[in-house]
Amino acid sequence: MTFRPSANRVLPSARSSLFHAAFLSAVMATAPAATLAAAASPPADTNQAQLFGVRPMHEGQTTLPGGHFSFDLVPGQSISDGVVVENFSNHSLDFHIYGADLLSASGGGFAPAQAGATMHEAGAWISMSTPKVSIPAHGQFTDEFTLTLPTTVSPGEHRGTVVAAATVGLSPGGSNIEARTALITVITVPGALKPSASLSALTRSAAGPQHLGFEIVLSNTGNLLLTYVGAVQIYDGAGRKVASLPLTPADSYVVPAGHMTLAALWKDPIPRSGNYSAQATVTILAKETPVTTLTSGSLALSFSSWPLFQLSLGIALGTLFLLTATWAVARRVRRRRRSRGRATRDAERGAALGS
Amino acid sequence: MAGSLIAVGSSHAFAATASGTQTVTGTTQAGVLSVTAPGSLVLATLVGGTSTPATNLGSLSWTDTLNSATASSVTLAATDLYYAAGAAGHINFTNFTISVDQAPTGDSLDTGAVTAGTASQTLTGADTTPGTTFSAPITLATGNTLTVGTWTQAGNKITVGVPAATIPSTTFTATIQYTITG
Repeated sequence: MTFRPSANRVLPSARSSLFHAAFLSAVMATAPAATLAAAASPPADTNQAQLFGVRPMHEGQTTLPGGHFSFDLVPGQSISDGVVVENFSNHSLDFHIYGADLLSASGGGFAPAQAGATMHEAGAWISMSTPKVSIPAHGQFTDEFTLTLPTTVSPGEHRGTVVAAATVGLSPGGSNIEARTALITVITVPGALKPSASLSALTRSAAGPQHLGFEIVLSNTGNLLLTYVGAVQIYDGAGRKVASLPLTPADSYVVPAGHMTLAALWKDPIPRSGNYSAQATVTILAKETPVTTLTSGSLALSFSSWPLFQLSLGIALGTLFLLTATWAVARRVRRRRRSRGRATRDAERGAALGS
Repeated sequence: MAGSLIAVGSSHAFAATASGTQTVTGTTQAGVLSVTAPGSLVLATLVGGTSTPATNLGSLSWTDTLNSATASSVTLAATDLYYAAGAAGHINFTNFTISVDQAPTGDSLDTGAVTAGTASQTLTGADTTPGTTFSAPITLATGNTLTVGTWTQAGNKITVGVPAATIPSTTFTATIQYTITG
C-alpha cells in the first residue's frame, strides 16, 4: 500500500493504494444506490414521501400571519408556543430541537445558525422544553418553547428559527448526513422602525467569454427584513443607456445586519471599443412597500479594439510573409529551370560542334 | 401526505328516482415543512494533488405546504473531510465545490416556483474545529412567498480538491447537512 503524492494520473492498479473517503447516507435513498447505507442504517422506507417535517403547534388556529411564529413583544416579555415534529419515515429518528438565529446564506437564501454556534439574536431567546427526543416511525411530538426577550433589545424585527434536526444516515466510519427543518420566528419589538440599507462599490466579476459580470453587496443596516429589486445600467460615452441588466438573485430577503451579494451579467455583444460606464440601482422594500432606491457609484468600462487590431495585423503580416515566400520559391525554381535549360542547350551545342 | 377524502351520504337505490345530490367533503392535512435527504454517497478515490470527479449528491426533495406567505430556502453546509488533527489529516471544506442542479422539478399541483442557487459554489467559512465545524451555508434553491408544494433537486454534485500532502491510504469522513427554512 503505497501512495504517490506526485501521481496525477491514476492507473487502475494504483487506485487501491490511494486513500478513500466516504460521505454517508440517509435512510430514504431515492435515486442513488444505498450501498453504504445498507449495512449501517435502518431499512429504507417503502414510501418515497418526506422523511420528517415541522409545523407550528397552533397552525390554523391563530390570526398570526401564515400560522407562523410571529410575535409582537416588548423588552423583557415572554411568550410560550410550540412546534410539532412529525416523523413520516418507517423508523424512529432522534431529533435535536433548538432555537437558532436566522442567517443569510451565500447565494440569496437564509438558514439557521448551527446548533453549537453562539446565538446573538432570537436563537438565544428561545428555550425548548425538550431539546432532544426520539420519535417513533410515523409518530409526532409537540415540543413547547418559551421565548423571552432581553430587557434591553432594539426596536424592529428580530428573526430566528425553531429547528428540528436529525441525523438520517450514519456510516461505519462515522460520516453522516444531517437534515434540518427550520420554522422562521418573527419577533417585532415596538419602537422606531428603520428600514435602511447600503450598497458597496460596484465591481466587475468573472464571467464567461464575450460576457461581462458585475457584483455588488447589499447590506441591511436597519431593523426590518428587506427585499429588493435592482439592475445594473450600462451607459455609453454620450450618457445614453445601452443596457439594463437585472440583479440576481431575485425574490430574496436580507435579514437585519445581513448582507447579500448581487450579480448581473452583460450577455449582449460587448462593444469592441469605446468608453462606457455601469451603475447599479437597487430599490429596497420593507413589508412589500418600497422604501428607497440606492444608487451605486459609476464604474468606468473602457473597451479597446487594440487586441483585435493586433490579431488582424498579425494575420495580414503572416499572409504577406507566406505570399512573399511562395513568390521567392517560385522565382528560384524558375531560375533553376532556366539555368538547367541553358546548360543543357550549351552541352548539346558543344557536343554538336565536337562531332 | 395526501389529504383524506371523506364521502358523506349514499346514492339512491332506484335509478328511476336517482336525482339526488351526493355531498362530498374533503379534509386537508395540516401544512408542513419537510425534507427528504439524499441517499448514500461515496466519493471517488481521493488522489493527492487532484480534484475528484464531480460526484452526484443524490436526490433531495422538500415540501412546503405551510402556505405562510413566507419565502423559503434550501441550503447545504458541510464539515471538512476528517481523519486526524493536523493539516494533512483533514481536507478543508473550502476545497469543496458544489454544482447546483439548475432545474429543480416540482409536482404538477405545486403553486409558484423555486429558483436554483448559483450553478457552482465553493464552500466558505472558518474551520475552527476540524471534524465538527460546518461551513457557511450555500443556497441550493429559494422559493418565493407564493411557493407551495414539493420540489426535487436530483442533480447536485460535489467536487473535492485534495491537497497533495493529504495522508494516504486513509478513510476520511464528513457530514453533509441539508436545511429547509421557511
